[in-house]
Amino acid sequence: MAPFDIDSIAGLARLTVSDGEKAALAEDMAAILAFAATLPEADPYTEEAALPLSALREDEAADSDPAPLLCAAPKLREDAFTVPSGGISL
Amino acid sequence: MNGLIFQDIHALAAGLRRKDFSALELVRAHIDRIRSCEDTISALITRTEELALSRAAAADARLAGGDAPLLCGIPFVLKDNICTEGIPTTCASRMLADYIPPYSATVYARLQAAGAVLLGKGNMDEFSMGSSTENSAFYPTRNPLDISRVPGGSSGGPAAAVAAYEVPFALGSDTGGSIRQPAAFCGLVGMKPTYGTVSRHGLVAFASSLDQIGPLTRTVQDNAAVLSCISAPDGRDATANRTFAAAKDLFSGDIRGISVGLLRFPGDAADPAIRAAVESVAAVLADRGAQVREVRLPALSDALPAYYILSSAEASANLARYDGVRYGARAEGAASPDELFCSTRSTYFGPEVRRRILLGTYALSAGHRDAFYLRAQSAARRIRAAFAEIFATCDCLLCPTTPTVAFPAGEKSDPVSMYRGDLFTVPASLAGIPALSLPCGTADGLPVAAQLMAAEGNDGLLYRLAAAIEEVRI
Amino acid sequence: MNFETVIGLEIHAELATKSKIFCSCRTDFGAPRNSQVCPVCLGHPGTLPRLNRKVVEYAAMAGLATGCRIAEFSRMDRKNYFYPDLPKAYQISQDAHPLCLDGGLTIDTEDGEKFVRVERIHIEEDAGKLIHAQGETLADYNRCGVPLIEVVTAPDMRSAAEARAFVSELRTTLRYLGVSDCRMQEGSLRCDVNISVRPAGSAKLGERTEIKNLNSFQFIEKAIEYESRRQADILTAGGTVRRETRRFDEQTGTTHTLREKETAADYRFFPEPDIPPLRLTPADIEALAARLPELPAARRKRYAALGFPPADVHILTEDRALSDYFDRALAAGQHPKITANLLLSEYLRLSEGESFVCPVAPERLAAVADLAGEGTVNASTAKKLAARLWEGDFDPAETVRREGLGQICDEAALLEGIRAVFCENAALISQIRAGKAAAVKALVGKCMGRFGGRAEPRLLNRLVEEELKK
Repeated sequence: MAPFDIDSIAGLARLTVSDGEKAALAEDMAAILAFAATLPEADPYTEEAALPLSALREDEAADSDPAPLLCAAPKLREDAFTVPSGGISL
Repeated sequence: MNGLIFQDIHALAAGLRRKDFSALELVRAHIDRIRSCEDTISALITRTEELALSRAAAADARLAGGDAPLLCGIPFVLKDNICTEGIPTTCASRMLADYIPPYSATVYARLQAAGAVLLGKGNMDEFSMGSSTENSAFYPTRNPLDISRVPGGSSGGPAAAVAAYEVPFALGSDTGGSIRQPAAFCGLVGMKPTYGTVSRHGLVAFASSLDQIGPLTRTVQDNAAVLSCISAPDGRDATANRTFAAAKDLFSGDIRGISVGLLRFPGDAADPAIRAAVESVAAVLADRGAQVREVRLPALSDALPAYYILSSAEASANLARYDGVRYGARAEGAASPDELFCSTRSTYFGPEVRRRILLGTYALSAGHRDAFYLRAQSAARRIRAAFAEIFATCDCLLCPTTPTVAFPAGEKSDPVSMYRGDLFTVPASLAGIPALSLPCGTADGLPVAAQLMAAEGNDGLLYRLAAAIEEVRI
Repeated sequence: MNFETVIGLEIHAELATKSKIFCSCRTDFGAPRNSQVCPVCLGHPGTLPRLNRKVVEYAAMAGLATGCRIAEFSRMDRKNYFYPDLPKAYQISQDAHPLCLDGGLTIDTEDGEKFVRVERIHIEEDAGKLIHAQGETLADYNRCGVPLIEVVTAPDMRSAAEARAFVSELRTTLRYLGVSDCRMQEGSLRCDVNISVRPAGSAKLGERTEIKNLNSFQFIEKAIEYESRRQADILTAGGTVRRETRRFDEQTGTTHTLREKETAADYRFFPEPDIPPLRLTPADIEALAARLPELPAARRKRYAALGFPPADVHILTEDRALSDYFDRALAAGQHPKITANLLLSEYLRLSEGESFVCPVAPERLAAVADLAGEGTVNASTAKKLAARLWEGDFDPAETVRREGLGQICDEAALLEGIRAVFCENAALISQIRAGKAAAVKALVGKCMGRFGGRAEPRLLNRLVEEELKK
C-alpha cells in the first residue's frame, strides 16, 4: 500500500497540517487505510435506479431575494463577494 | 404541570384536546425543564424560547378551532445540522458558529405546518463526524442517565434532550448510525428510515448517499407519527422518492407469521449484556408468533471499511464549500484565494473533520481511486444485494445496535476504536434499508437496545414489530 | 522541416433556458451583480441540485443535430477543485457517462469537404465571474449554474481555417436548434483549443498545449497560428514542447503559460450522489428528434440544387429565421431566384436585430416575385413593391392593376416617348454622337423616367439603341 503523502493530500483538500499534527495524523491515517485495504476488488459498474425525463424539474425561472445571501458574506464589497487577488490571472 | 414533561406525544395530544392544559402551559413546562437541565447535560446549542412561546400561542388558537394535526403544540428539538431560517445552524462547528440560514429545511417546514413548536437546536459531533458528541466544537453533551458517560453521536444532543424530558421528540440525522446509536445509549426509540423517505433539503450534507433524517422518541407510536409528518414527496430533493404513511393496523400487536432473522456478526462483537438483551427480544418475538431463526451475511464483514471510505469520500467533497467566501467563518490575512481556503479550513474545522476530509480526498485521488473508492462502492453494492437476497426469505433482521452500553466520556481516544463501534449500524446505511433501535432493558442501570432492519420501503414492519416488543417490556 | 498542425476543440455553449441548470434562478445576461442567485447556486449548506429538464432536452437535440448517439443511461459526476468562482468547490458535470457520443460535422475546406468527429457532448454547470478591483477580486455568481454543453471534438482539424469552419458550423447549427444563442462576445460560446504539431507525414501525435477561453473567430485563428508557429520553432530548434495550459493575449496576438504546474489537475471524479442517473428512452429520443428543424447542411444542399451560388446559399442559411422565411416564400411562388434577390436586397437590410424579422408575409413577397417573373412588372417596380409592402400590407397584383404599375411593352408607345425624350435632350444626344458612352445610360434613364420607371428594360434599351442609330 502506498505511503500516505500528507502534504499532497492536504494541498488537494486545501488544509494545512502543522508539523506537530503530521506524525499523529500519519499514524491514524495508516491505521484507517490498513483497515480499509481489506476490501476485495471492484466489480464492474451496473445501472441503479434511474430518473426518467418526466421526473426532472420544469424550466421556470423565479425571482429570489439576494439580500440575505449577501448579508451572509464574511467580506462583502458593494454587491460582490471578495477574495484576495494573489495568484489569480483573469 | 411537572408531570407534563414525562408524557409522550400521544398522551400530550390527548390532554391538549381534553383541555387539561394549553399548548402555552405545555411549552412553558418544557422551557422550565430545559432551564433546569441544560447546565448539567448541555444538549442544546441554541434555545428558541421566545419563538416557542409565540408558536405555542398560535397552536392554542389552532387547537381551539378543532381539527389540528397530532403534533400541534408539541415541543421538539432539531439537530443543529438541520437548517432553520433565521435561527443559527452551526453543525457544532466553529466554521458555522455564526451561520444563519436564509432558508428552512423541508422537515422543519413540515413540522411548523403541523403546528409543532421548536424549542432548540441539538448539539452534535462536528458536521456529524463522530459517535459521542465529544467532537462538538463547543462542548460535549452528557448522557442524562449517567452524566459521566456520553449520550452517543452524532445526534447526541437531540437524544439527550428527549432522554432528559426537555422535549418529547427530536429529529436527528443518521449516516452510519448517528440516530440509532444515541437512541441505544439514551434508552430511546431511534429510526433511520429507508433512504429517500425524508427530504434532505436543508440537511447539511455529510455523506449524501447515506444521510437520512429520522425521529428520536420515547415510544414506538410517537416515532411513527413523527416520521409520517416529515415524510412527503419533495421536489427539492431528487433522491426523496418515497413516502412513509403509517398503516391503520400498525399497532395491532399482531406479528404472527412474520419471519425474523437473528443476525450473527462475525466475532460476536457485542457485550454479553447486550447479546442477552437481543436474545430476549428474539424470545419475545417468537412467543408472540413470529418465526425466528439464525442468519449470517458474510458480505457484512466489508461494511465498516466500505462505510468509512465512502462516507469520507463524499464528505471531502461536501465540505469543500467551506472556504470563507460566501458564508461562515473566514480567516484573516490571506494574500491569495488558496491561502484563504487553507487558512479558513484549517483554523475552523476540528481534528476529526480534517482527518475525514484527508481520508476522503486520499480515497478519491488519482492512483488510489481504484484501490479505495471503487472497491468501497463495489462492497456497498454487494451488501445491498446480500440484504435483498436475505429479505426474500425473511421479513426482518434482529441484531444489536451497539457493541457496548454508553461509554465514559473521554474513553475513546483513537479513531479506529471509535469507528469499530459502528459495526452494527453501518450495514443498513450502506444498503439504504430502514433500521430502528429499540430500548430493551438495562445493564447496570444503563440502557441496552436491539436493532431491527427490513427491506427497502418496509419501514412499517419495523414499527409493527417494535410496538409488539415494547408492549411486553412495559 | 514541414510541420503539420493537429487541432482538437472543446467548445462550451450556454443553453438558452429560462432558469439555471440546478435551480430556478434566471439566466439573463447583464443583470446586476449577484441578483440572480439563490442558496442552491451559491452552494449554501444543506442545498441540493434539481436538474432542469430543458437542459437535457436541449443537449440531446444538440447531440442529434451533430449525428451523435444519445446514451440511454447517462450520469452526472462531481469534478472537484477549488477556485473562487466555484461555490461548492466542485462542478457538477458528466465524466464517465456523457449524454451524447460519437457524432460529427462536415466542414468545407480548401481541399473539399471534411468530416470532423465529435467525440462527446455532455452537460455541466457554469461557474461565476471574477473581477479585479483594487487589490481584491470580486465574485459575481449570476453566471454560476447557467447550463452548459461541452462539445469535444477529435483532433481532426489541421489548420486555423478548419477550426474556424467547425466552430462556425457548430454555432449555426446550435442557433438553428434554438438551444443556444452562441453570442461569443457575451460568452455564451467559448472555445478551448488543443493544439500540437508534428513533422509532416508522421503518424504520432506531438505534445499538445491547451489554449483556453477564446471568444471570437479572429482570436481562435490568431491563437492557432501563433501557437503552431511557436511549437514548430521549438521543435526545429531541437527542443520539446511542454504540455500546459496557455492563455491568448489579445493585444499582442501571442500565447502565454497560464498554469505553472505541469501535472494535470486531480479532479477526483465520482458519481453525483444527489442526482440519480438519467434514463432517456427510445421514445424520448424520437420525440426530441422530431423537434429538430431541417439543419443548415441540408438546406445548403437544397438551395445549391436550386442553382444558387455559394455566396447566396451561405447568406440564406446563416440565420434560420431568414431561411424559414425564404422557404415559405418559395413554397408560395414560382420564381426562386427573383424571390431570393428581392429578399436579400430589400428585406435583409431592413431587418434589425440578430435574427431576421420581417412584417411582410412571405406569400406577399412570393407574389411580387411572380409578377416580375411573369413580366407583368419590371425589376425596378418589383423592388419598389417589395419595399412598399414593408410599410404596410396590400395585395401586389391588385395594386399593380389599380395603379397601372404594369410593365410597358408596347413598342409604339415606347417609341413615342423615346422620341419625345430625344427632342428634349439634344445636348445629351450630341455627347453620345461625340462618343461618350456613359451618356447612353443617362439617356436610357431619362427615357425610363418618362415612363415612370415601368418600361420593359430590355425592350427600351433596344429601341433607344435603334433610335440612336438613325
